[in-house]
Amino acid sequence: MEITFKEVSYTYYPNTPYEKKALHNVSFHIPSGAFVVIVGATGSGKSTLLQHMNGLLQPSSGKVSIGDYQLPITSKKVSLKELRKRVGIAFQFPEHQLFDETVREDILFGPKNFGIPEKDMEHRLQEVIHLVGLDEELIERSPFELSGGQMRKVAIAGVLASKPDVLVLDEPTAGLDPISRVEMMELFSSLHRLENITTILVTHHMEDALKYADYMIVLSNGRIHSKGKPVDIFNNQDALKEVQLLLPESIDMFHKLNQTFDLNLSYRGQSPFDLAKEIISSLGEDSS
Amino acid sequence: MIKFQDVSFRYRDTDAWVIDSLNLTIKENQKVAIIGKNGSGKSTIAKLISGLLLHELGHIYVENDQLTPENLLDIRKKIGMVFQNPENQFVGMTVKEDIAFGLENRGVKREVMLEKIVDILEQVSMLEYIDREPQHLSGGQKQRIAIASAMVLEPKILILDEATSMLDPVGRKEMMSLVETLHNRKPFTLLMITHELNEAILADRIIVIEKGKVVLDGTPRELFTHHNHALDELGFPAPYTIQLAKGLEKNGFSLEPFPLDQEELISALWKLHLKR
Repeated sequence: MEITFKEVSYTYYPNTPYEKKALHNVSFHIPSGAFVVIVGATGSGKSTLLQHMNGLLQPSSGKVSIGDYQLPITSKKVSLKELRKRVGIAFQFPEHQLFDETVREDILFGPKNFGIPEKDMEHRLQEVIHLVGLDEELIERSPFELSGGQMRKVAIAGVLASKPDVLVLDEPTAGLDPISRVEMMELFSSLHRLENITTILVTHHMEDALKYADYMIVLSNGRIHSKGKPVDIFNNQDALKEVQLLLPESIDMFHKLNQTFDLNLSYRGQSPFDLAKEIISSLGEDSS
Repeated sequence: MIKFQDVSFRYRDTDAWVIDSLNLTIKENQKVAIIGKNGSGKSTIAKLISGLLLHELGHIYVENDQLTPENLLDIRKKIGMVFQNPENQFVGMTVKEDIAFGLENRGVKREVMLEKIVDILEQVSMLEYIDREPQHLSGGQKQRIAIASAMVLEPKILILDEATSMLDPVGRKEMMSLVETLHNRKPFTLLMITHELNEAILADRIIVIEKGKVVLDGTPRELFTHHNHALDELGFPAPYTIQLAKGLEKNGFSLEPFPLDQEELISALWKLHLKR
């Protein structure tokens, strides 16, 4: 499903002393089936933006369209059920949203709510627990007895169980150990490829942005600072300093090597081992 | 000083051990990073030291005193803790009140108290926020205040339990350099529990916990150097810079000393470059 924001602004607590404009004229287009990463410092408006994607917030002005669905501006009340069935959101630390008595109930809460026939439920459950790599033994346990990493998987499985066309993920790997983080990112990446799910990911891990995203949006103080291919944005390092973002360690290393030794290395996703070879041959040529 | 002697802990009699006959000694003023996968028991260690959880078997010593249910409150006075979620650790309406809370509990006189609050806020570069409400600060600023609230009580030990994991990269970096500065100014025993190898590298010593036991223990240079793949095998792949250094060595460059960060790598390459 494609997503379009057209001059969207959002103000918290309008006409009160706490009034705070969180988004200013934000416009972008996400084609159906894209993998988009949104980055920005704390307070740049990322979470506010995400909450528009399934109607948790409605714009103060401007247009939000998700597929055929048009989000009305604030004040007008509309049914959002159809939209929420198609757009699955996992917020930060989604395990804090677990509530049911068993893992099974928790995962199937969404599908039940959206009126999936009872006979399809068990199949759906099996499907998602395998996707996220949850042990089958755990489904009758209380989600609160599980480890942090397992709880995270239950929460993500719950979002996937409704079979959304769009998956919105707010720092889904925060607080996970490195291996769990890679596993979870690979899961999102394969869902995106195999099921053609439009994926929108907010992350502070610039390496992940570089590795997985087709397209990147940089937010700063509620405005779009830049958008484009991650590698192009990261190559413009001065612009990123303005918005308090750090480069991925790999790209940063390329820049430093090029500057220090007057080289011409460019990042194409090569492994550190291959880069080592390039460095050796470049430095070698230099002396001959 | 912290010492674990054959310590075991589990949540219920019927459960498996979360901490399993753990032996560990941390010297005074040492900076130690404890890493491990989710569910390895690393955060449990922090809770056992501060008596938030009570061990079932073995002995724990903090600054030479054995931890018992009776002296737990005295031992806790020697320990400062900062947790993952900056939202959950404020008690005061303003930054000043929040920091004053612990001082009041210790019976510090009012005149001295204000002096101490100003001094610690200066150290964490947050003095201008003294009358602000903690809720309205950014995540990184909240964690600075949490550090100030802990450090104003001059603990012998500071424990950071995944304290940077909810911050953005800049916030993370700033917090680590703040802890480093505070430690240089007036040393204390630092225990940081983290997933981030880039943070663990700043410690004097890295300890890896798996299933409640120590499975690896050494200085960052020992653990990352040359042919040591133990961290990789335990599920902690080296940061990019170190992988690159290893790649250079595999291709016949020998780097001495083995670089741990970008600066060290660049200067090692300079030397080689000049020799050619």
